[in-house]
Amino acid sequence: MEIAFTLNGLAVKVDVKPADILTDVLRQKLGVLSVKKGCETGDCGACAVLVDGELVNSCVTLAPTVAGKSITTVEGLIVNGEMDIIQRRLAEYHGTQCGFCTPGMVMAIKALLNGNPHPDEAEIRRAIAGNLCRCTGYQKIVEAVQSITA
Amino acid sequence: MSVQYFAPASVEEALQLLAGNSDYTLLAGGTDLVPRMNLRQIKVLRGLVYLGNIAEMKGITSHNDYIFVGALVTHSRIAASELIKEKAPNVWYASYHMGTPAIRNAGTIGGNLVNASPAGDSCVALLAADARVILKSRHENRLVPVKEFFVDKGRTVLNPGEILYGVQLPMAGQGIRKGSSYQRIGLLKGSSTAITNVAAEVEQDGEGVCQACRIAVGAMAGTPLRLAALEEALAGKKIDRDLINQVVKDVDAWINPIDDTYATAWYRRKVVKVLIKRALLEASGLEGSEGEV
Repeated sequence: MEIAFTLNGLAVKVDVKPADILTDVLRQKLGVLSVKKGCETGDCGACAVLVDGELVNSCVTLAPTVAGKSITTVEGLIVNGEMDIIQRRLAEYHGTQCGFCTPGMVMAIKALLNGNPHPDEAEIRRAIAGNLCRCTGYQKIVEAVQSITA
Repeated sequence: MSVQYFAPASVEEALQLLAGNSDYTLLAGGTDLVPRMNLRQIKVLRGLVYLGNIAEMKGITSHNDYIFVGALVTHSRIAASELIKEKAPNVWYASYHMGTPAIRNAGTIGGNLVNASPAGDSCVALLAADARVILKSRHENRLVPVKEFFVDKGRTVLNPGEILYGVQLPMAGQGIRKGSSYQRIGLLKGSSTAITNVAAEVEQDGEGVCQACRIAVGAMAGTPLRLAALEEALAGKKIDRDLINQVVKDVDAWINPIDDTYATAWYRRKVVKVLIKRALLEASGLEGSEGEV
């Protein structure tokens, strides 16, 4: 079946099977390699994307269900070759080490700041609770977000 | 194996589809079904009926003596609802603390019910709230108390061809002070299955005498469980610490805790007593809530 949706501002059409996982469709059919395949059970957040502005784990989303919706990944945050402030600050504050969790982490922070431009530390930690990072210990990530919102 | 896919825009259309294909699988937020597909635990999948386009199942509405919550209302929406927070704090608490932001954005209250996990966070809250579920089929609407909804782990009274349409949360009558408390323990602060969870609602008159009380626990049987014996022991009495201590001692006879990778049955038996005691103290107004955990 063919589904149409918006990917990082561009209209796309793609042929999928009903049980296809959104992560696979994004990676294999649309070349969006920032979206990582981690746990495949919705626990780690490495596959997180925004669907109509809401943070969603693409590994537990079936592709046909996003028909007509708008999907944003980290690629969509780069405007005219310029990275989003979240991406820049994570790099500056060493909030990214191996980088595997980073795209999902960036989207979780984006979802947070869209709804709450001045979160306190507890709100930041709650917002990234679904994004596992085994390198940073989270402290540098929290500091990176605080540098944006302070 | 080719899977059929449908995304009906109304309940009528969905019921029509199911009438001829009662083995099709219903899909809402996908947070329980899709992980099982990824883990190859779904052996037969003939058709998927995606319910996410059915607007009438996404509402929260206030009525005279109950609040209606559509089965497709996500945990995020419940966590953001001032109405639910004020009128059904346990139901709010369960959704607010469930899973992670991405899971709460997708997972629905109806999904939590039909998944029928023995420690389902919303299930336990809805049991203690004395909630009712609305089950729709082509020819009938059934109103079933949540207490009678669960059959066994992963099994409910939902018949083939039926759809869980929504939940009714009854409100307390005039002159009744209803207190509630939700207690849960998991391995992590964020994102973890409950080792056990307890929801209590205590209705007292002006004198502090218990008019009605409901205690629900998770992971203490094949389904979320109401502790009727403890409820009866409290009913009609003025609640104080001694009474609570005394009834909590009797809980052993009524539970058969799950033993799994999250915790042993031995541990669950110990910890559930502590949580029931805390829940009753808070719900009866004898102790304030502890800070956010």
